[in-house]
Amino acid sequence: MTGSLTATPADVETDEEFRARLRAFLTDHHPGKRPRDVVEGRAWHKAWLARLFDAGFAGPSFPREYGGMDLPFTRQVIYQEEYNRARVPGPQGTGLGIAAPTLVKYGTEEQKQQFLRPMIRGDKVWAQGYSEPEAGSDLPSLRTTARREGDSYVVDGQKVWNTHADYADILFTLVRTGTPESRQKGITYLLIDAHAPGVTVRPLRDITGGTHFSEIFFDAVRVPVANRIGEENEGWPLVRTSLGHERAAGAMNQAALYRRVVTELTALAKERGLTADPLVRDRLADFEVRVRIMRYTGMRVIADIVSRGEPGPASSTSRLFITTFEQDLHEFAVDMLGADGLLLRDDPRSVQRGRWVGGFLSTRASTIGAGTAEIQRNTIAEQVLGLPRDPAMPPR
Amino acid sequence: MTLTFTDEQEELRASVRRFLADKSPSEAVRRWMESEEGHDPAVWRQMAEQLGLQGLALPEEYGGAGYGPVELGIVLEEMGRALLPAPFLSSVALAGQALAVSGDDAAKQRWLPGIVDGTRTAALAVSEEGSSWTLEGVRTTATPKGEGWALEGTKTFVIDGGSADLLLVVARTDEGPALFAVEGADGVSRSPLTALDPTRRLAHVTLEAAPAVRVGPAGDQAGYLRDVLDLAIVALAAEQVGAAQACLDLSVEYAKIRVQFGRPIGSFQAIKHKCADMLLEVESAKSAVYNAASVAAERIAGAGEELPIAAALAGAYCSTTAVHAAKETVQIHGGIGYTWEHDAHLYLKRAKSSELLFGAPAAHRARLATLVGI
Amino acid sequence: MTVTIDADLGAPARELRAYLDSIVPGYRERWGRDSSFEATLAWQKLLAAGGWAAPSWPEWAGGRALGVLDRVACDAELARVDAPMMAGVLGLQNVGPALIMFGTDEQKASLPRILTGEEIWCQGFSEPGAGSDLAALSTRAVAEGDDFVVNGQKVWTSQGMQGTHMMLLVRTDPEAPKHKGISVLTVRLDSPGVERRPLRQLTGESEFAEVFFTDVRVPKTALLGPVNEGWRVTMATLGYERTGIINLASALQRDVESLVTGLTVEDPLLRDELTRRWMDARLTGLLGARALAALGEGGKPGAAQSVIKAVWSRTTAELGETLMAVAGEQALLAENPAAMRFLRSRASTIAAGTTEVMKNLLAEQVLGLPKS
Repeated sequence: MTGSLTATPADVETDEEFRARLRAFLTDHHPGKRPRDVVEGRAWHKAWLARLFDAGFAGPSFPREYGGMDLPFTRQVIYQEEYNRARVPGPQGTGLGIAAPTLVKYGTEEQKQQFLRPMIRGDKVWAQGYSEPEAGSDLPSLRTTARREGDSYVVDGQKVWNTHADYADILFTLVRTGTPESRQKGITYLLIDAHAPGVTVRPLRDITGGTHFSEIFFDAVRVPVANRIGEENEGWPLVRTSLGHERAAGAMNQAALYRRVVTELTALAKERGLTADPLVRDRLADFEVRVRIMRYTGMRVIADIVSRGEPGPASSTSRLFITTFEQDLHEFAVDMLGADGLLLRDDPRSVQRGRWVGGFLSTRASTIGAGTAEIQRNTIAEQVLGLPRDPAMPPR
Repeated sequence: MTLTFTDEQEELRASVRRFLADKSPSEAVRRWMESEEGHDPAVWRQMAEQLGLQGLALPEEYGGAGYGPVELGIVLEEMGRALLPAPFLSSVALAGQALAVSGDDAAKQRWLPGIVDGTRTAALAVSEEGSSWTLEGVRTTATPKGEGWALEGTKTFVIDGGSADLLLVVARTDEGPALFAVEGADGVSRSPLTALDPTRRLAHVTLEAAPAVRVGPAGDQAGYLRDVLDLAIVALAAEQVGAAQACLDLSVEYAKIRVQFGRPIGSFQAIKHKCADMLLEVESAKSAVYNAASVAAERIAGAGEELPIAAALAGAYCSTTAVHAAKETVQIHGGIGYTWEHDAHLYLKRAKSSELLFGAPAAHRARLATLVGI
Repeated sequence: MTVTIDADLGAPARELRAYLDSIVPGYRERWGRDSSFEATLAWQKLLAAGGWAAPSWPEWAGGRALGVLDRVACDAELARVDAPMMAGVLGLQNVGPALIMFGTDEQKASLPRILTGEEIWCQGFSEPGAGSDLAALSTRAVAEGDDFVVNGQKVWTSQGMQGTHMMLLVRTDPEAPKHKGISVLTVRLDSPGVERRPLRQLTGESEFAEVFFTDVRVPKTALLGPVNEGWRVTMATLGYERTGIINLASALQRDVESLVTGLTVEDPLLRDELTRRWMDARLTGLLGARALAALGEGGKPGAAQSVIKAVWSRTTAELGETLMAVAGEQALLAENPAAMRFLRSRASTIAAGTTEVMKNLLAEQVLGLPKS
């Protein structure tokens, strides 16, 4: 494990000195505006991540030997605060947040050496291959198969809802190696080269009209056995690996982001003379309350981690709190703007380039992706409150 | 008061539903929403020629069938259910009814026959920047000029305002607001809006000394225009109810067939209660809209003093019902509901758009509060 | 506009109106707005004397065999004069119809006494272990010679303290599937072994009782309907008063409309909230009117009834909160009408089927979703 909870004695820099040094770097080397062109934008993004890495400011929670910063938890929080404050782009793809902790915890030394550094530096973009058309909320029913042939697995099947897969280099994928009925007991975790023969990535158009997700088709794709993380049929427990408590730091990030968004919405309301309306004031005040609670909850979780080493029950509710908040916020913004709120970004008369109506659409996914709100409520009811499990559900 | 339907009315509903299932299935809606025109002119003609829908609720003396808001509501409910992209709401329900209740024989004679047979379309321009669907917010002015009038101002969110042959424009005169007819391009510039709902065309209309004819009763038109706006709200509410019912049907159907954890997701209470809540709201919304249509019919017959109350009630309630139903439809469908290929988002966009076009629910409620003495 | 009935008043309602005109002044002079048991019993006797206690019962049973539209028209007349409840309402609306449909001649002999209020019937349904899942009831009746011996406990028994008789659901076959082993007994509440305690609600009032049965001997002749078919008997008679929920719906609408217009609310947020309640109440009334119109045309009530019940429950509960908010700090005073109303309204989403159970029913029986 990495990310000790207190600063090491060797670390002579104080927290505030660290903050100042990071802030100076992020200010001095700020990459500016992202190019409009998608391909140019990605290259620009890659260049920024490499610069960050080369200066020793990438992968705050990861071991130094693989290119990370190995920061104590309190410093990770500072790092996230400063990073967010600087408004610089975060990691590309979903590898660093989801796959890297798994790799650190369960990967072999060779795998860590091979994969972590290029991921943290942003040279390789990783995307997730979990959900399938028939395996959404019920992920353990997934059907993409991997058949062992000598030193390789041969993978066949289809994945869906893969964020950033259209330009990913490596797909961290769950495949079935057990019997079709084996559920959690027959799943293996494979790293698949997105450029390998037999891999087809097809962008998926979503309700915003954009393509933020893809479908991935595997047709007899050969994957070296060396790319398996953990043992065969033992991939399921790897899925929820998190490293240190970066999710808690992530929740703080969200709180900081929405602090800014609420302030911007309030400013917009003032600018349009809407704050005289008591109904608007009431709603804005409600969002102000909720965004502050979001921050306090994040701080409580961090305080729990620092003092007790574990996040308390508040951490389990923060995601549901944030997702419903962001849906309400964007919908209210559209309502507040009235018919003007309906104009999309391409319309010259749109308000703030249609960001609110765009958010109204895109946040519909917030209560669906990575566990629907309904599933989250079940999980909270059962795992936090200790309510009995639904007897009709398959065993966990 | 008509709260249930006669056999004849049910037959009308069935035939409109059959027609739309045949002529305007989802693939067609998607094809036409991406097109230049925004709707299928062939289907528009067939609606007029085979079913006579454009003239159904317009007076017989101008070629219509002489039915009223109740029958029109049935048709709009079915159109909302099918998300039909067509200038029906704008040309028939808004402009057509505005002319029909105008008491202005010359105007009716001049424009209703074309609306009835579908060869001409009309649009009703009310909203202006910063104000939705109220008379108080109208700043466009009308000044007498020669035989007629000249209009000056900007109208926005005009439904099908880009393509309509005739624009009916609410404008201010020295005697208060009044309705004006604008034909032709003289002094009129129209630009399309890129808005949330791809199945409905909206336009921004600028009037610069646009020549116009005054339409409607002589003298003070405040009461007449209030009726015109209320009839429009009732018509839109009928469409919203149809869309909400379609959302409920889609959700229930999917909840029965989508299997996760080895059983249909509709067997989970979390999903069941969502569907039951949608049912409660859809049924309540139907009560609101059937009542409103019935009161609107009484209003046209010279009574129906409760129209403002009934319209505000329907506008507020059906708007929120349709939006809630559409959001839940996306949610119940999960990932597939978030795709462009599934129809859930078309309902969501239509519902959200309709909710805000004729005044937000809170505005309807504020009016209602005053009307009922709260 | 009244949404309840705007059809012409039928002959029965006209007759009732005339009768009410003749009795209401005298009643008010004697009882005023008293809502005590004695007052409601006096009112029932007055209505019974004119043949108006249960006008939907068949004529041979002392009723007028009124159809649904006339029945609702008559209820509207009663509402018009703000008539009090009748003391024996459960006997009149629920038990009487069950006796009419399933009773023996001996059991039917109770009917005239139910009309006049000589017998006050209550229903022994809910138990501590059988609430939403009523069919899980465990009060046992064991056959012994010519009797059943009853042991168990009922709870939430309306008018349990004033009642003289009870329509009691008991388990007669513990081996059968839960719906198949239930029977209905008609029980005199003065039988030895019956103990009653008032149940105090969160409002502080006591409108219900707990009723305990310890070796209570009930003659086999008290069995209502066939043995082990008590569930069917109960279900068949629940639907008898099909207009009940429609009346509740229109009463809610009238209530809110008069209440709201009597309030002065300046705060725009409260105005908006109150307007929502006004809308909800109007829509509840309209749902009732729609259901009534469908009934008038020979339609089946079923689904619409459940929708109205669920909407009525929600509106009633939300109304309680809104009135509390309108009353502001005054609502913190004990006995404040808004506070009492708020507290009482908490029962609306629990009693006679919780909202959660209602939603399951709607999802399964109306929308056709699969069982859990």
